[in-house]
Amino acid sequence: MTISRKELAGRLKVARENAGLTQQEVAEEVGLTRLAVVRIEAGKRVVNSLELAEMTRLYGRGIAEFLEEGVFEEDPLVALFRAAPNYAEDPKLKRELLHCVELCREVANLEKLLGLSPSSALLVSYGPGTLSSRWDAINQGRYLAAQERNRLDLGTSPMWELPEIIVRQGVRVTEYEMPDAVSGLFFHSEGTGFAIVINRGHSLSRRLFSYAHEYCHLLADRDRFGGISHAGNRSELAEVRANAFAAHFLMPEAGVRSFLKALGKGEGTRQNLEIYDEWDQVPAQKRMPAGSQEVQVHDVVSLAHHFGASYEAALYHLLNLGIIRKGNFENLWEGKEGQGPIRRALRIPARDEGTHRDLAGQLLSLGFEAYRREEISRGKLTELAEEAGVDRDEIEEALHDFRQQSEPVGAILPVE
Amino acid sequence: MERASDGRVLVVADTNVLINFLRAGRLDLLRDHRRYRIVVTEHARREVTYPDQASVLAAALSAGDIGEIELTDPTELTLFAELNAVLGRGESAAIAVAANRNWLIATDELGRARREVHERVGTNRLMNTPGLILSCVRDGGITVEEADEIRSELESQGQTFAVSFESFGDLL
Repeated sequence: MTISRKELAGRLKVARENAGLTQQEVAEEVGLTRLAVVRIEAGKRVVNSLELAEMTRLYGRGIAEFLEEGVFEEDPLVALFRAAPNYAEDPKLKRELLHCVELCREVANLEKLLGLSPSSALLVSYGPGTLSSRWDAINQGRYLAAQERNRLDLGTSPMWELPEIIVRQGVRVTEYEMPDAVSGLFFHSEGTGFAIVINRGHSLSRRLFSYAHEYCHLLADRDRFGGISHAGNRSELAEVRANAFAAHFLMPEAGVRSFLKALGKGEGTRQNLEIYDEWDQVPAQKRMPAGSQEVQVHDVVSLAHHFGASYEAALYHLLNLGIIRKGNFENLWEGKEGQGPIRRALRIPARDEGTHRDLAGQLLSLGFEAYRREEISRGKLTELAEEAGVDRDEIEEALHDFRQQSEPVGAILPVE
Repeated sequence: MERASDGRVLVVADTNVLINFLRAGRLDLLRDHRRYRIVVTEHARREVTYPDQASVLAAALSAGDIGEIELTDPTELTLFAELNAVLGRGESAAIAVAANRNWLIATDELGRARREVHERVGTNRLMNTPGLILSCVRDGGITVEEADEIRSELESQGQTFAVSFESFGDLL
């Protein structure tokens, strides 16, 4: 059974409205007049396959969704923007995210064709813990970070490759230009799998923090189908938990203490040891010069660089771990302006800020494999490449070695 | 097999077949085919991207030398959507039309696309570019020499056209 033209028209209207597009905008993108779009949505003009494909692409939906019988499922972006309606009015953000959703759908489709485990089967869920206070939220974040680091066998090492680690958990990750107040967002649905989108305009250290933050949402806030992390909601308990998670996930306490110890910092000025020799205890004491253990600006700079965190994030983390006290924290906060010259003097190399994750790589590596296995056609692969921003010539060149070595063909004619 | 009003058998051609005739500069063979009425879907215009080929195609479509159809029937759209999960839009549209309207299909695609044609349209309603050229020879539209010239021209332009015979004359 197929749906009626009227039902199709209604679905197109709902999807356009959910995408926050006007009929005029759709008309311009698809190459129609506004009146044609009005008539299509009213069921008074038929829509052809070319128009339908273009419209559904604009709406970030699969064509089949519009034609299948049954309930027309809610757009994942609707859930995403429900919690942050202000951003739903941002046309650029919405356009980028619609594109992202579409690419995620194609990735999910390729995974299915290749028989790969869907992302929902890979990603662990810690379930939504009850949060009654910020104290709870911070402690849960710290606990989850330790659990997840342990589960992934990450030890105490830094996580510069965090986006790759997250990808290996079955999550699509990408970066787009977003308003500065937005650090990132997450969403998930059956059709798209799990996805994290990070603000491409932020510094690398901030992006790493945001990756960890959004990853926490996917681990612990699975009951929500999406959420935007922005300056306006940072005091919400789930956001506090995700921030605590991010700090502890990026900078595990044992790793921080170990790093500082190697710098000769972070221990008490007086250390006592006692050894038992089967007769009695033998005490030993070490006194460090006053102030020698106090963490300095250059220590925070080194620590932040080591773990890929910002100076500020590292500083707060040291305070929360009890390694520095409030007075020292304030001095170090004051001194943060000096981090640039210190970084240069310490010959700390600049990280490559220009490296951004996008979905094209994930999509096309699956696409090449699906084409090689004859699960998709060359035409489909070319469409995927164009959707991912790779032009036709580039994909032809890349496909040179993939070219199916088919035997020369004979003349095929129908049986009449 | 369905027929056009002029009695010719209706054939929906995928863009790759259309492009072969454009590259050979012989769109007239499709126009003048005695047995088959060649029709393309609305995706063809978009998929023919080289400007010189696109203008020749646009003129042929405007003149009605080659028919152009749209998929608007919900059954065809549903099949198109299903196929588009694994095939390009143009090939999905062509297969959906052939399957739903009981037309012939002309396509050179192999792999997944060929499998879908076999499953959805059937093996006996399929033809390819060499088959179409051969049918022109058989119907007296062109000579064997002309057909072999087209073949040489297409082979010289790339690896996408490779046939398993020496001359169309061997197939008569």
